[in-house]
Amino acid sequence: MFISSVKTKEEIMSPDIEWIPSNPKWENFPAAFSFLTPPLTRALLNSTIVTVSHTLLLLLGSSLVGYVLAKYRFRGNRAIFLWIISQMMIPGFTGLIPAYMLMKWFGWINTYWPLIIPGCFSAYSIFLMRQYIITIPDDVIDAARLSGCSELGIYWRIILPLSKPALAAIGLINFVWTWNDLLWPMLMLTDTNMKTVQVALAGLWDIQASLPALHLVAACITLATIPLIVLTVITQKHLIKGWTGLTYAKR
Amino acid sequence: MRTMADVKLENLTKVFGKNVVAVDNVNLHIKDKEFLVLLGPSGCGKTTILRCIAGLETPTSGNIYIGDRLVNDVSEKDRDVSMVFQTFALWPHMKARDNIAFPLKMHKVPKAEIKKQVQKTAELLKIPHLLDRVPGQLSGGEAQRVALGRAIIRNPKVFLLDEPLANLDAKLRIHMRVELRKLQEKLGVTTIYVTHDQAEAMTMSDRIAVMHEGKIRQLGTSSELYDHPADLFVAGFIGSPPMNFMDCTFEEEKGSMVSEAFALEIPKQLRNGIKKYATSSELILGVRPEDISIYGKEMPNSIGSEVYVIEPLGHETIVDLELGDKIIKAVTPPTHKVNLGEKVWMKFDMNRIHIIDKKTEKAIV
Repeated sequence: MFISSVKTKEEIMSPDIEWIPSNPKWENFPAAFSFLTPPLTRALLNSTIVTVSHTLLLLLGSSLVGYVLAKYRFRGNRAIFLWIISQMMIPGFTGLIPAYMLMKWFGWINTYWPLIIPGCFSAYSIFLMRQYIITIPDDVIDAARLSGCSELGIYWRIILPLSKPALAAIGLINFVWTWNDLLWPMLMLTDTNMKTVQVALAGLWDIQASLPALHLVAACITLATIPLIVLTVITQKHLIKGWTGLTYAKR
Repeated sequence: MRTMADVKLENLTKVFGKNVVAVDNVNLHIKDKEFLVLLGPSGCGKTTILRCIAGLETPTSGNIYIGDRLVNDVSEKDRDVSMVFQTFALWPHMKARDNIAFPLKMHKVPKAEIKKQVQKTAELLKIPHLLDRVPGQLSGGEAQRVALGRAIIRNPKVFLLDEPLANLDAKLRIHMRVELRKLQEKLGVTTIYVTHDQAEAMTMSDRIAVMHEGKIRQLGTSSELYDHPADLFVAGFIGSPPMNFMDCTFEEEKGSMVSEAFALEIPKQLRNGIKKYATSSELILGVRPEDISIYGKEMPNSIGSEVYVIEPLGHETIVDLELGDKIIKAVTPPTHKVNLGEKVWMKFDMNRIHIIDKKTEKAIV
């Protein structure tokens, strides 16, 4: 994909495959920005707004619910937890039409809200957060309580910082999911200028417009992937920790 | 000025779930500035009592007073108590300095004052050089000091310690025992200390409350518990190696304690006690290993037995003697040589034997 993005259209179609282009066409990239509708910068901005705010809210929501489910004893705790994780058994697509109607009722079609808000309390993230927070010793929480810390203070000053590995892993997974999501944003965003990168890229399926400019298509896709690659490199350490078992490390 | 900070428990009961009684109708008065140890095997309810006083558990019934204030409905933050946990429970993401400062920060103490207090506390605990480390870089003993610092910085009314030495190695534990006691005397804080280690309890406490199955079995100083245990449990729990117990019957006309393996004449004073208090003639004779002397030949009022195992400890030797189907442990000076399988006679110090009613399990004299 990257190689194609620095070739000319003719070089791409040529039967002699040139692995390392002798004459890379870097000018494809600036051209790619305006090739997309909306322009790539606008699409990237849309995606960033939606993904960043959704991920932050999701981390806040799932860690808060996860903390309560993990560490508070109250009647119905278990029932609520089971109810939440049972949501994971329902395929997302079955809720698509009701969800669309709900968003329409809220008047949220063609806004960022449907992409940011509904996923904030994802069953999967709550489940992972709960399982992580349950491994934080109660003593650590009780010690804060006896020091005069409020319950919300304990969440903010103790639980959140101690949950960093879990937050990083869950945050990253959800970041990638949200960034790559296509169907839901496509349904919600009809205004051209609101489109996220993925929706904009999906527009490239228009063969008549794309075929004459395959090199620009490749350049667009390459550029759209860069944010995810950068993010993965930055958070790699936490990500590996996240995949290899999330438990609280002692002391 | 410090206010009086005695702690009173009135009919304290804590039931977990439907019928797990962790604390069973406990009455206890811990005096101002006293160092009281709650001693008992695991699961006896001692930690639950501590957590009730701290406010981390809500009693099922009964009252808790700190000073003159009934604190049942006072939240844990407003009780003015601090606690040290067995696991130290330091916050791993904060430096030692921030761990110690946290209680003051939560109570909105001005920054400059916090800094001063942290420095003062660190110096008291000899840890100023550790303040900028995170808990992961501290050894067990150092982490313990930081945890202590966090607990004392606010100058609490009551200081609660939940097995604070259990996670330290043996040598450090003996050292910290003394330091903790010194620290408590210096600060003059009412202290409640939970442990299952009788050596800690005996060496550190003003008074000990021995607990078993949610009840306080006996309350007293170390020597009271050691010399005059109130019942079979306390007699067996305090002392290492533990007290030897022998089932026997009291024969009034002979004035003797008799079993299949022996007959032992007992002093008049004990006989009168038994006649007065025993519910039946079924008794348990208890004798501490150090109150047994071993002789190579038969002595008046001695019991013949055979050497079963010899356990030399250096400063003393524990000799296991076979008596019927029982093993009796005796402590002898290392200079006293015996051989395996040797026929010996043991003599009990009659002023120091314990007689326990088999039915009620209460000590008689």
